[in-house]
Amino acid sequence: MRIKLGLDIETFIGSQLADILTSGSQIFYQTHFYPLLKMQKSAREIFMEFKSPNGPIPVLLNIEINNSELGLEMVCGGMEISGRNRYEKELIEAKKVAEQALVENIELKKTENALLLNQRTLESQLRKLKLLKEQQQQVFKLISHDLQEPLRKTILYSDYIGTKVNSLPESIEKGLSKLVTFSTQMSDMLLTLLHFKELDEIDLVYSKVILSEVIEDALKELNIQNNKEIEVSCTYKNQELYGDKRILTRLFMELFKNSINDKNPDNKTLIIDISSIETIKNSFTEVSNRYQYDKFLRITYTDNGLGFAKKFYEIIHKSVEFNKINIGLAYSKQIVEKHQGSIAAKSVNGKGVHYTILMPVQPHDF
Amino acid sequence: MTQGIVKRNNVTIKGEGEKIILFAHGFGCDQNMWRFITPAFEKDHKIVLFDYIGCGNSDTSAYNFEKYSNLRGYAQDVLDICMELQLSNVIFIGHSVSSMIGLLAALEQPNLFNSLVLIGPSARYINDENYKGGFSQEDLEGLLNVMDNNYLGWANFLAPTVMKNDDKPELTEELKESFCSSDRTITRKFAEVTFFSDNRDDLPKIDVPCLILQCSEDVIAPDEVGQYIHKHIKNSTYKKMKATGHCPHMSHPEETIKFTKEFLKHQYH
Repeated sequence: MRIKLGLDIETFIGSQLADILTSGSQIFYQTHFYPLLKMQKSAREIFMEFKSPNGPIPVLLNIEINNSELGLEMVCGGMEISGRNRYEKELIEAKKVAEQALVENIELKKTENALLLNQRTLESQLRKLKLLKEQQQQVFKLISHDLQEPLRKTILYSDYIGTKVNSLPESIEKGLSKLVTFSTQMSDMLLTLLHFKELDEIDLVYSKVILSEVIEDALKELNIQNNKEIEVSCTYKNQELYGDKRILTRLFMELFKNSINDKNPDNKTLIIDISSIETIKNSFTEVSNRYQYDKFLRITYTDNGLGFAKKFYEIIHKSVEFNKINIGLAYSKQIVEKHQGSIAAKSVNGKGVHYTILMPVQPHDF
Repeated sequence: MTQGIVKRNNVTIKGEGEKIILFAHGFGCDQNMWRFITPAFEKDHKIVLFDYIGCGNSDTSAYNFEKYSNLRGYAQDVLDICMELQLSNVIFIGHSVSSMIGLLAALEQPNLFNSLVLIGPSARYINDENYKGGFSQEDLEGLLNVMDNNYLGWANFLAPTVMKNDDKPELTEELKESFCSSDRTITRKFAEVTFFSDNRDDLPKIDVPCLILQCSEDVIAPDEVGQYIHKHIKNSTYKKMKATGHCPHMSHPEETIKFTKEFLKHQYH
């Protein structure tokens, strides 16, 4: 055997079993064979190839590990199967062809069935969606006009009373001014809700967007780019993606606004940290069993604010309850989702927020 | 749904501690390979073990060709397990290809992970310009050939019947479970995805603390590869082991436990 392997006696004695195997067999030895021996102390009919000057020698091995007086003893029995191996190679080829045909056939049938089922589901979902859309439009109209109008009038008449009627008792005057404040607040909230709703209706205007520019624009819009009490640090290298620049700017505006609202009064400066790396992930999130790996930007956003309570965490995951403070967060989520991305939030009370945003570099409907 | 993922990946949970360790087995094996390591952590940790689809007692019907044609499909399963069990601050211990799977998972959701322990990692197995992975394209085709030969009908290797071992009564009841039983087609595909992967570009992006455990004389992940990974993952810890081969957690569990514990001591403040 030694001569067949082309080794001289000095090299051969003392060499490990793995040393005389071909590279491929070495990997197999380390990943399958060794664990098996370790667990079971024996293995039967394992195919391996030995290195030799005349090409690999296929061998079928039986191995047992015994505890003898001399310590652990590994007993190996093998049989060269060159001739048989040629025959088996043909078998393997035939098996591969057959398996491939079978897989294609099964896949085709599966796809066909799945398609039919999906079309039925789609039909019923489309119907539901249509109904929902009609209802939403009613609500939308209610918010935009029917509710705004009485509010506007309330404000108008309160002002009228305040200015036209002289010498009102002080308590009444105070009451009137409160009435104006509450009504204005409510009107503002309705307006925010409107913006939120509008995003649903509009189509995104895609262009190449440079992340750092969007962040700078957001800071400028909020007029905080030179604010000494806010420190925004960004660690990324020329990250780009396709998206709606105007809307993406709003996303960062909302995140900044939230950070400012939830500023920790104990900290002198509000520190915001944004980083981004390019990564690859499956772009299907709602359709199960479909996988296509695409480039994404993973943007992380952290601040040293108060962090948010549990309720906020739920908002970003379910966006069910709207109120003046967290509608911004729900709006951020909507922007990310509209770009076919996702946003996850983690927050420790008192230690700030931590958002992980995954945005496709190039969305599919672009 | 929880039941779904727990069953799909044959998730098992044990241990009495709070800190979570997620053990991920390497190519060619299943969660049983951790049996020499887990007892050392059971007292102070919650231990989560699982099998990748196609390995051990996983649900092979969950195999999806498109999904698992990329290591990221396997990384998604790691994230799924974390989400379903609501794990956070996870210590991920991965062997061999699982090192890169864990790295990819941590790249996507860094919030979930406390640290990564990479046992015998490789960012790329095939040699490239200015990179020595240890293998040529032909070497790896040789591996696929060896696997094909072992998976042909007559070779009953890996088949559960082998595990009964009636002539070896000293085997404990536990060992009678099918060890390393795996789906041949899936394992064959897993080999291709593993050994033809290239994750070199992902290394500098990771910002979770990493420990690299490098074996001596490891043909699958040689010293140069371990050094390369250490150089490219910022702030990583590199430990060269006395253990030889590619499975230190099976051949030299004490040393593996020692280095892991030393590293973990610094990860909780």
